[in-house]
Amino acid sequence: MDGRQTKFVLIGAGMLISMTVLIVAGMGRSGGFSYYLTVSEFLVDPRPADDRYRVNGKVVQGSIDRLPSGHDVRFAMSDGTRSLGVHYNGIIPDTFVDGADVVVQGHLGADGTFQAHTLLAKCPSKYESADGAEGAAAPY
Amino acid sequence: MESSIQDATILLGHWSVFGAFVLAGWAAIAGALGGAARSFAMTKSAERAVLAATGFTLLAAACLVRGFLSDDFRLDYVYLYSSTSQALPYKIAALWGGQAGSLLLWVALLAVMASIMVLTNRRHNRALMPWAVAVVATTMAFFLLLLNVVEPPFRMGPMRPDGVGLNPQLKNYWMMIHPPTLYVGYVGFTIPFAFGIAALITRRTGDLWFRTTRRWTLCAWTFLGTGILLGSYWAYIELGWGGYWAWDPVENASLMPWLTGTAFLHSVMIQERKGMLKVWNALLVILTFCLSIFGTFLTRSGIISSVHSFATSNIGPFFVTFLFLAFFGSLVLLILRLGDLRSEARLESILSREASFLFNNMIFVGIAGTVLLLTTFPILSELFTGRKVTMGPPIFNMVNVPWALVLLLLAGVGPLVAWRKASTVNLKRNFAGPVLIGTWVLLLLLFRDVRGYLSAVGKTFAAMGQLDLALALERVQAFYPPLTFAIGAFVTATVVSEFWRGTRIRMRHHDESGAIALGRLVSRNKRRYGGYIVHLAMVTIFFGIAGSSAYRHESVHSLVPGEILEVGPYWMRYDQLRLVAEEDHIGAIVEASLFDAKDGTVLAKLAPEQRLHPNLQFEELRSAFVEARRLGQEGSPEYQRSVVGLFGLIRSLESRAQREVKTPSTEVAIHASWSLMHPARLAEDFYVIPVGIDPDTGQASFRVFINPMVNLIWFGGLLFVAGSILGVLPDARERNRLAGALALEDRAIA
Repeated sequence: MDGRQTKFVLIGAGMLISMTVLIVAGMGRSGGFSYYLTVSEFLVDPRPADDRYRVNGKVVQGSIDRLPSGHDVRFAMSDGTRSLGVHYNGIIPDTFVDGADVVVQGHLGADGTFQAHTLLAKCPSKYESADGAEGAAAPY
Repeated sequence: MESSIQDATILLGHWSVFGAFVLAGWAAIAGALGGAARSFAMTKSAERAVLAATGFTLLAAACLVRGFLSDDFRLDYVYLYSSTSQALPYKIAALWGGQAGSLLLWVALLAVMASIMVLTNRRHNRALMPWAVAVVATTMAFFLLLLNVVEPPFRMGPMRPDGVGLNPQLKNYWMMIHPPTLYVGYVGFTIPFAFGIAALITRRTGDLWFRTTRRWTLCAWTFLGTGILLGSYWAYIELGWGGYWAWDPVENASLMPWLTGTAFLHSVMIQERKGMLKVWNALLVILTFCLSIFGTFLTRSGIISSVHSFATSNIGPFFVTFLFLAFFGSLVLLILRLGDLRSEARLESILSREASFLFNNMIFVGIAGTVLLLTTFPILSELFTGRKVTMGPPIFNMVNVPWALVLLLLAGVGPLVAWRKASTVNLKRNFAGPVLIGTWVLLLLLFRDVRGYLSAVGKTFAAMGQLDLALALERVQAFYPPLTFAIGAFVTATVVSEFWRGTRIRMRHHDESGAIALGRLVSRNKRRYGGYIVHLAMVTIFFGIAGSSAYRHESVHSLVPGEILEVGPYWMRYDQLRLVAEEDHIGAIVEASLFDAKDGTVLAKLAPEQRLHPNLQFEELRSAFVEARRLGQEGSPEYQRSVVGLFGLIRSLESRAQREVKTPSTEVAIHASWSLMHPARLAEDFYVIPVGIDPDTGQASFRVFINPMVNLIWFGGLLFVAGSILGVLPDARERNRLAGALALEDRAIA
């Protein structure tokens, strides 16, 4: 290997290292890396201050209570075993309906209600085949 | 009579899928035999089998479309994705509304391409063709196997009175063009891959295989890029979250093969010219094909939502097996052929065109690699540790934005730096002006907000002082927008100078007028100038992304009719609420007027809308809906009252039935500024989404976005398509090169 090739290898290695550093740095940012838990998993060890948790479950039938402001909603979500009360403030996605699969991100409030700043919802399998392999949110 | 035709259609469709599989399987075997034994008869048989398989695949697709058109709800697939009231175009588009139909469309597109490949190479490429046919036919056979064994499109159930229908979010015309465009892109990379593999197998690793497939690659790449842009445009105008790209796995799936495909398009130029990077090019074509299949797998197998749903989805294991075989099989072949792929030249300097292309390739592949890692990390984590994790957009942006900027810089450097080793004269002559312009733009932007940028520098150093690298890298992001504009200006200047210089030389040497000289310059070398236009398109798209993400404004407001909202340089007056009952939904339309805050002129009438698609399975709701629709035709004032009643009915039904009885959807209202009177607002969108509407009082809340420069992305997209088409158009120079390579090959075989 001559000097020039060494130079190229060094540049390539530098590129690789910088990308790794950037990935690790990106994981530290809020909204970046987070754990994805079910309601039960979350309730085993809820850490009130930590924001790096995304909790998923289904909206409990009939629990949706939309507040008059139009961008506040209270509902309960469950994974079949345990359930969690959620308060969300923000844009409510069209796909947010009873029985929808939802993912919330936020923190556990002092009153035991989950204060969500992000709410993602996927239609219940109404439009999908029985195996429910894909969500209606993916229009491909 | 009609019912017997329907029976025959289903039967025909079902057996066509089977027949196509058998024929594609035979084509794969016969192609391989023909290649191995150099048997002309076998090769011919394989080629004919491909053509016949294409016929059967198209027949199957036609039968399924016919099932949709005749509302044959015995077919599960038709039942799930269509309904009697569905408009004709959506009955056709419903073909790719679900799993089986999407796979059928995929294989039909591949079959058509395979046939074109066979028909255009009847007399050429006799050494490569048998193997290329074998590879393409194997891919076809794989998808047809899925359609025969796992996802039969003609699965039947009892006759049902009406179908479920397409998801309302899919019912717009983007649904008709976006998925097929994307699929053509995904599928198209199979042809260059097939020729690449054929070249490796036959040890004919010269430049014939990529010269033959140059336009195939370019076409597939153009379609894939266009499909990605169409998808983000669709998300932007339809999904109503104010953005266009979220690093969603489905989006990433389409981006990855596009990135490696772009790298391939660049690096083949080095092989053509210098006979270098042969292994790398073969590797890139393998990667691009595998990522295309992987993309189809990601979007279709459900593995994204969870590894568990992957286990229940039945096509997943098949895909994994196929991908595994395709990737590692190709890799082993590549390793076996390393001896045939020796480079004919060496890199001489870092300041050379070869080197700049090599860097560009490393970045493209690096970005594709990070996207792949971040997209699949949740899957891997769940598989190996049982813990599910997610990767949000900030990580993707953190890694990819800085490298994308380097890439943009190279788009200006690459085409102008000299081959082998750039001299100081070459550098000065080509880059002095553009560098000056870029620097000037950078300084201008920095001086516009000196205090802001100085404080950003301070914050970056403060974060570094605390050894918080993540925070420091976050603070640095304040400089990305001005850097983007500066680099963009540099690239634009290099491209413009290329056009200018070429035109001037022609004007002088051929005594032509400026316009004619420019036209001839471009049409005599379409590939090169098409490439420049694509580079300009990328600059434009980067500007749009930088502007709309750095300077966007977002706020939420609540208004009653008559009230005026002031946001930035706009006034929006909420005029009145209009309630309608349409074909499959009831809608609350907010009629609003948009004014220029400066002089009060009306800019636009806006009508964002919230829709409820009622579940007509509920008899009470169905009759009320039908009644409201009837009144609507008369246009009476009772109409409004009856629609208000419908909103109330849905609410009361839901509390009684303890379940949701409607599917909501939102129509966004967008006003784009194209007026040259306000250059600062050029290409800016005023974007409003109704969040909550009370049909009784008319009170409504909105989310308002001001997205500066966002339309540059779509404008750049058009430029991208124009440049790419220019590159694909027949070009005398390219034709001669291909003819030369083919003649050489024919002599070698003889």
